[in-house]
Amino acid sequence: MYLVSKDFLETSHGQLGCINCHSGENLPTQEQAHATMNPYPSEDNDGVCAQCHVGVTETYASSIHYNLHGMENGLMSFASTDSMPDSPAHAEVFDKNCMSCHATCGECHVSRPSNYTGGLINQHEFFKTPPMEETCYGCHGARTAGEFMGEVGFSGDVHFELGMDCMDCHNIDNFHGTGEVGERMWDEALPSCLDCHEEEMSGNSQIEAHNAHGDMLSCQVCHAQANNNCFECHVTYNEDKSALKSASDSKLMFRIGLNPNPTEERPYKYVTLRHIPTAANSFDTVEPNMLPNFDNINNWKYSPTHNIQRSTFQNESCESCHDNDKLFLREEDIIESDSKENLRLIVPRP
Amino acid sequence: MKEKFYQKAIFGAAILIALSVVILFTYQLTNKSEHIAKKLTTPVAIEPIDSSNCIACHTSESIIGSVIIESDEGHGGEGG
Repeated sequence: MYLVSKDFLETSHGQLGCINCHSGENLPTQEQAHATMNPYPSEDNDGVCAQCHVGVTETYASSIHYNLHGMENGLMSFASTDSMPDSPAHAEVFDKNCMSCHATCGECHVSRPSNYTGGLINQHEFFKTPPMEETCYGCHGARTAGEFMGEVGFSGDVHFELGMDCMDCHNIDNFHGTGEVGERMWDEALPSCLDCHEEEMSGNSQIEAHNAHGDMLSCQVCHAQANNNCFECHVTYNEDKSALKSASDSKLMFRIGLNPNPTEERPYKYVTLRHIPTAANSFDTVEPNMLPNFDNINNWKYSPTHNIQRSTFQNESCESCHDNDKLFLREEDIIESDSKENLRLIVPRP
Repeated sequence: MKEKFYQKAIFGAAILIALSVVILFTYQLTNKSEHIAKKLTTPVAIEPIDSSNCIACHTSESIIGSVIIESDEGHGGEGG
């Protein structure tokens, strides 16, 4: 049962009355009152929130937080199938596993994401800016947000230690979308370190290492710490086959590799990598050989790891990086279930 | 003559003070309601619906204390 604060009743949302959003009846017994009650009114993006916030909900339909196009495209690229409807097995994996990460308006602005713990953040208070620890961390806690907050890995991010949160770097478009349906996270206008640290741009910096390395390295190569890498993810059905649960092994590692996909925004030759848990047989429970294109797509991925520190063990001296083979992706890091495409990310070492 | 002048002045001052109090009180009342209206960021176009029974139950700590709250478990999966 959810406790609602009396202060909430004085707010613009509270004044509307529970029934306006949650339906149900204003009757004295729980059974009668809840018979037609909807505990998650924002599940329908065109529903009750859209009545007042139509501009936001229309835009949000284009957001990858809402439609998970990034995950859909990732799955389909491994699958070599043009679209989800062509393959009921892939559609099942997407609907029963990937879609559990889909977020509604309410899952950030009122409650915690249901994929995390669910439950109201603070007695039905609406948060214009959702609290990072209860919402972003809820879905991204195993890696990005967990590392940022120091909950996963070694030290947290220096920006977190200085009081910054996700919203201080990521603008609202990264959460609500822009109205144009994005294909993947990388298509969005993501923040760059240079947005704030312009003086550190190669050629202008007071720090010689910045000028010496130029655009060859992403900032994380020198300033990130080890990140959480997941391996061997396999899905299994729950009891009534309504959901596919996934589980994998994880390992803290730090690996520098060749940039799998240099772009204008991320032209670096060397970047920090993170292993994603997908294996060729990850979805065999649903149908064998669902990822026939697996060996053509690397599953060590570019990772702008969010645990930045000014001083790290690899930037202590030139030798601490250049003479340390263990920092770089090596052939022995590529395990049997990995994509063979990872081999092209190995940095040639003398 | 002088006394009459003072009586007039005191009466005038009392009127002025009373008027000031009325004006300030009215201003404060008006200003308060405007302030609340400005705080509303949402153009509410929905008529409120009486939800008094829902509110009575969901704001009552004695009722809430008597039911079992499901434990919050889980962690950010991020697919892993």
